Amino acid sequence: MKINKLLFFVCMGFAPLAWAQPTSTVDPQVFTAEDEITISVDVTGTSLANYTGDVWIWAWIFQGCSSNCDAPTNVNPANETISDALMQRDETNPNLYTISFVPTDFFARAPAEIQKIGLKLKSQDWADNKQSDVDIILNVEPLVFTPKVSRTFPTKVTQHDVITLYLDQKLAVAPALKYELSDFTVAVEAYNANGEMVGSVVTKDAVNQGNGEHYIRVIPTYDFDAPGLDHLRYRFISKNNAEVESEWFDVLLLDLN
Amino acid sequence: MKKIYNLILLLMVAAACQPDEFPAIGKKNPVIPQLIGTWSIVSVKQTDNDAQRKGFPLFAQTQDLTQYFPYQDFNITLNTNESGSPGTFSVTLGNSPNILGGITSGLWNVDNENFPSALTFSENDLQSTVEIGSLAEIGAGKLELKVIRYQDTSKGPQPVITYDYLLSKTN
Repeated sequence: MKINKLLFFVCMGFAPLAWAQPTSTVDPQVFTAEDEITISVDVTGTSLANYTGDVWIWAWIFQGCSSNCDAPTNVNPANETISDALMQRDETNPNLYTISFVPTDFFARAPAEIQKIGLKLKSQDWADNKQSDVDIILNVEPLVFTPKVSRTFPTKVTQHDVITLYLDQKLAVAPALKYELSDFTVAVEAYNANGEMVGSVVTKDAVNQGNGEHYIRVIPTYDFDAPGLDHLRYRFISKNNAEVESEWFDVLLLDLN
Repeated sequence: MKKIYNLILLLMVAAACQPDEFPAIGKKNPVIPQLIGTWSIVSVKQTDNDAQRKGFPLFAQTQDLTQYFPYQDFNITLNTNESGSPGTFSVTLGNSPNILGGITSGLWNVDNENFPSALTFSENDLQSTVEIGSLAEIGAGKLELKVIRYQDTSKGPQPVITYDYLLSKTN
């Protein structure tokens, strides 16, 4: 009984710290540092939920810059000189905030220095303890061609497109994958917007085009007999040793016109 | 004296010159009747327009997809109605991917019957628009079509993926 009570109070003590993660979307979903983006954040379940005062974005370059990575608008307490960082509250959903900006303008940095963006929402002063609690990280597409362990062609795709999935094993970190001499098969899974796997796993033999590069091609609506496709996950697996495999990579299926 | 003769001769030649009459251009060859028939895919090229704009290496800009999927199975038959305007169409897929995004039969139309630049295919609520890449060789039974996907941006719609299809007339 004592233990149960102790557990109860321990749980109660930590309850205020267990904030929900804010949900966020960005439009366009895939963007470069030179594109204008609109970020929407729903702070329901965070310490900022139901807050009625002004809300500001606190943003930084998460990857790509070496020093002074904060946005110039990161001023605390916030004031009228950083109106560019003021979030717009939705008229019908008071927990939903949006802001639009071009990353190169907002951070006053070159595109090559903006590879990932981190952000939080906050009230005027951190001392208010009203914020979106969990960091939101956004990927930024490079403006220059950057070889990667995994890349897709084209960079932006829909469920109706031919998608070429590449593995460049020369760039792999794991030695087993980097120095694997065998060819690969690729397992591809499809998911809906709720994160549920749909259809069956598609497995294809990769084409070895030499120089450590392997690829397969898929068309989501052709290879997966399932509605509501939202994103794909795939991994390369050695044909010689199933334990030699890449990590899972994701492909977001966009809604283009 | 000889100079005077030469001058008179030159004036007579000049006076005899008459502008050539241009031959008749002939009747315009209408496009719609040339579109009628069955077409099959010969080649497919995919371009990443974003990569092209950014100046990525060529291998990251364009790929030839012709051999990777059985596109050669794809046939589309275009028919006209009684007045000679675009009418019905039907697609035979075989094992080919459907380049019309799920549409297999219905009505087709053009944006301009005299100077068409795009074909629209409709089936119930579904619609797919395909741009005409070139009609230069339509007389030789070749037609170039383009499917372009656009992304809405603050600068307006930007093309992000382009498919170039070369079709040949089989019937």
